[in-house]
Amino acid sequence: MLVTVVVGLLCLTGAGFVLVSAVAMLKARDGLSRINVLSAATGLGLPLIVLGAFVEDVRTNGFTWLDLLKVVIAVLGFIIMSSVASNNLGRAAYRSGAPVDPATRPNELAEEPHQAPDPSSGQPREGTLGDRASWVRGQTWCRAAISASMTSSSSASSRTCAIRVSSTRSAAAARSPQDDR
Amino acid sequence: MMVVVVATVVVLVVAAVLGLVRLYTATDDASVAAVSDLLYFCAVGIIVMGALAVGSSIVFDVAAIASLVGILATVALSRILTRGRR
Repeated sequence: MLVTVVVGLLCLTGAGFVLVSAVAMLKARDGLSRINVLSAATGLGLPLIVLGAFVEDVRTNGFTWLDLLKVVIAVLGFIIMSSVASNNLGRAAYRSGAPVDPATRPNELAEEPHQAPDPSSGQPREGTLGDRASWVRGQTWCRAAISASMTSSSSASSRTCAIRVSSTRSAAAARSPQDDR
Repeated sequence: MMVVVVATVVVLVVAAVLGLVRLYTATDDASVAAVSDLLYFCAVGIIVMGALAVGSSIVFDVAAIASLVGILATVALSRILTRGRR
């Protein structure tokens, strides 16, 4: 009886995490957030379900080390593999230009990468900035930042952004059609 | 014990149906990829509970292999999202 309660608690909690993740997918407003909320299902839901199945299996068939090994592989696999897969998928989604919720702030992916100055000249390196897709995305971010700073009257940041917009516009104009492949 | 299995499967099916609703109303490809991952893990959970209910000995083999190969579909979808570029 006690074992059944433990199994039910583990399995239903795991299924509850999957359900919470599904509901959060309905409520999330952009693709990146949906990839993010998936981790509740893969990081907690499925490992709990597998643990519940293991407890039930120990009760009916007895404990074996091989089963424990499989359970450890399954739990670690769910956590590690889904983390790597979510990271890869989120990167691909952002680079493919999926729309990002405008409330996403700070969005460091849309900013220029920080460059260490060249040690020989002390100037920032030329031609080593990120790819042009992130340039264009940074341009849209800067437009949003300008409109925000016009209301918040922080003139310094708006001036920086205006400079960045003018340079990114020329970079976007110089983009060759081959880059769109 | 059967009650636990049925309840868990029902909750997982509800989660999968909610995911299908989201899939039907999805506007961008990234959402489709995320929801397809959710459906995959719902299916894995249902299979594990089903194998547990019939007393099959493949429960943990299914779970271990599904956790290890689940990354393949996600990585393939992410390559599709970026049109083959890295």
